[in-house]
Amino acid sequence: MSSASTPTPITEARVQAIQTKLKALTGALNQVLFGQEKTVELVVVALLARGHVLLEGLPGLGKTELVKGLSKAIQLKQNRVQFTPDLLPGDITGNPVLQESPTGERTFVFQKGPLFAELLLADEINRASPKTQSALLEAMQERSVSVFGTSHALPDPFFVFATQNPIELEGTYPLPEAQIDRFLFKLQMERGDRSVIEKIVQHRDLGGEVSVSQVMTREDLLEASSMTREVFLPPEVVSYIARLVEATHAGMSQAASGVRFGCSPRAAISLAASARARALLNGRVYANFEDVQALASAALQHRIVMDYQAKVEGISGESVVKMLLEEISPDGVEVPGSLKSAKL
Amino acid sequence: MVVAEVGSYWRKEARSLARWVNLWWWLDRTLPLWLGFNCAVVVAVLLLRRWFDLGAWFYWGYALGVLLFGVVGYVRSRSRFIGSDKALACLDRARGLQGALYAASRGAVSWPPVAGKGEAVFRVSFNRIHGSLLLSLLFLAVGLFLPIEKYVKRSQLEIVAGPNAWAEMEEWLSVMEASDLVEEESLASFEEQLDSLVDQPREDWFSDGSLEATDFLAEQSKDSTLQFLESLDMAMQSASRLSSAGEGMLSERDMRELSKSIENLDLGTLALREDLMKTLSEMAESGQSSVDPQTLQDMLDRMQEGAQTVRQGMGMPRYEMGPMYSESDTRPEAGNGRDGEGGPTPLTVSEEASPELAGNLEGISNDDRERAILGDTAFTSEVRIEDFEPEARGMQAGDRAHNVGQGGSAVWQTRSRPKEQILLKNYFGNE
Repeated sequence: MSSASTPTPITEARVQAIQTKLKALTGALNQVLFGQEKTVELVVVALLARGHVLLEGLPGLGKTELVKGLSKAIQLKQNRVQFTPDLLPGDITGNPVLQESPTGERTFVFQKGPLFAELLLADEINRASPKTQSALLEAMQERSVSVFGTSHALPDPFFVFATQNPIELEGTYPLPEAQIDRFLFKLQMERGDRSVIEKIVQHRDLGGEVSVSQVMTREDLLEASSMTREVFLPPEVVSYIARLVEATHAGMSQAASGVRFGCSPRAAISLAASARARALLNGRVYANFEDVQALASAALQHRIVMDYQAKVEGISGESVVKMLLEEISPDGVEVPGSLKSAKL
Repeated sequence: MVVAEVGSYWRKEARSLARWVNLWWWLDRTLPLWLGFNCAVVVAVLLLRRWFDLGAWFYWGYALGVLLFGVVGYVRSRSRFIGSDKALACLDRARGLQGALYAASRGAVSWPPVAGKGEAVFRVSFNRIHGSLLLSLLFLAVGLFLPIEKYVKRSQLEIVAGPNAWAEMEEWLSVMEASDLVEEESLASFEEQLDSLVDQPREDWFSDGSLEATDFLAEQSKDSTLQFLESLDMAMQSASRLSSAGEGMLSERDMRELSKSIENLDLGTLALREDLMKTLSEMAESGQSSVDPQTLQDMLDRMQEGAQTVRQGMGMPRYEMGPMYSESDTRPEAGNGRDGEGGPTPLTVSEEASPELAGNLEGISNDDRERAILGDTAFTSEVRIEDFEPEARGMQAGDRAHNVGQGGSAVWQTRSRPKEQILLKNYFGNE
């Protein structure tokens, strides 16, 4: 991984080449998911940054279709697990099975579970027991599974797209804050407007399979992901990320007055990585303030724990991040009251 | 423009922006201090200009003060200063270059091309800076150019002489000494009191206490002198009658007056000389002239001369001592005083009104101004004292009335003066 302050040998020509493929990927996904351009962009950014995504939205908004379209566009091995309260960790990680060899010798052979996929769709993750959730989240962090003392590496790349329903919370197990922190982004799937619905009706049939052509290979994705780490992160942007994350803590800014717990350093790392990815997606060899601002809400909002009073007042992590973006100057330049910004 | 020049251009722009922002930070922190400093300077200048002409020292001092506050403002604003890196990021945002400037400054990409001068990054909000600036200059102008009357030190009036009464007192003392009638011990007490007043600090000479004491001393000296002269006059007249009587004895009344005058002369504030007192005492004890006539006449001459000296010294009329009365003469109280014989004219009214002068108003001149009232008049009438009705009484105390008259007649009978009684009698008839 390159240093933040030292420019990398990444060339603009290479960036332009990979950007073309990435634009094709977003274009393909936008053909599947109408009216969700912003979400599609963030999903691609998460892929480049090798981060996991928590999708939150009402049923029928295209969460599953998004993952399916993604796997088809890149030709990634995709599995889907419907989380239920009776789901056990072994149901997703896999179990050792006693097998008898032709010679008559009996040994335990690890039977891989659905976790062993390049793209895992964990549907309604908050309906599984904490034990099962924990098994999944451990795999997300370690990118390996340990069963009976044996560690089994997960495929590379490995992405988890977990969904959760904001309604019908009865009988669910909300993800603990420490586990939510493992997700790079938390994305809200918003309902499209009338024109979007018209477009969906025109292009989709009930129960029909989505047809998405391959636009990238798995190797292209790995190369792009590798290039993402070489994108230059200027010290000014690093400073901005640090100031933003610091300001999420109570007492460090006006916006964070109702915050109980702010973001961890992992949030800063995630935001920096995703800023690099967005820069690459936009054909730049360096990240800038706009990248940070565009990704701050998705990367930070689910890592902020509000206090009871703020929850009652309806203040969410998302609104805190929005206020922070207005409060914290990207370049860190404070001007006296006698000066006013002419253009900013 | 080659790449190196473009980079130089952007760096120069960034430095300029940094200087601009830092300057305004410095102004923002310094001008309020300068405003407060100028407020104090205005007060000081207005006071100083009343006493001194503002010279170069003032301007140097002011410049030093401004410099000091400039340094304080610098210390206060230094933490807010930005470097060229931050300024470059600021410039990048203002120009919408999406991070190209600060990425280029790190060598990540080439410098973005220069596209014209571009809009200024910051605008100046004049309200705050110019408000302080204008107020400061206004204060300074007021302090420097407001017309101030120069203070002129007025010379202190030197007290060179004491109150006039002191000089009069000293003159009185010299007169009294020249008269050779008064014992020196008596005058010494006056001199001592006068010296105590003169010995005060000059600034206290005209203080209220000093003037009050001076007045008291002058009044005391005057009263003492008048009392002394009166007693002396009485003694001289008694002695004169004794001298006129030859070997005869003084009347009992003369003896009483002589004794009283001796007593007054002995016990008064101004005591008569001991030798004169001794002679008078001998006369009073024997009741007849036990001294030889020549000695008596010398004493009378000496007393008369001394009294005359005192009177002249005090501005009193000349006093003529002569044989005013003899045993055969009518007593002055009888209203038969002789006029034109040089003695004092007693202002007495005869118990029996003169019918010849009835109804006349006469101005009576009396040169003895110590006793006479200016413009005093005497009136003679044919009405006798017996005409008054002693029984007639008006209101009495005790909330009771005892009126023996009839209506208003009782009033004029008891209260009116004789002429008024005549007028009232004529008006109401003979009631």
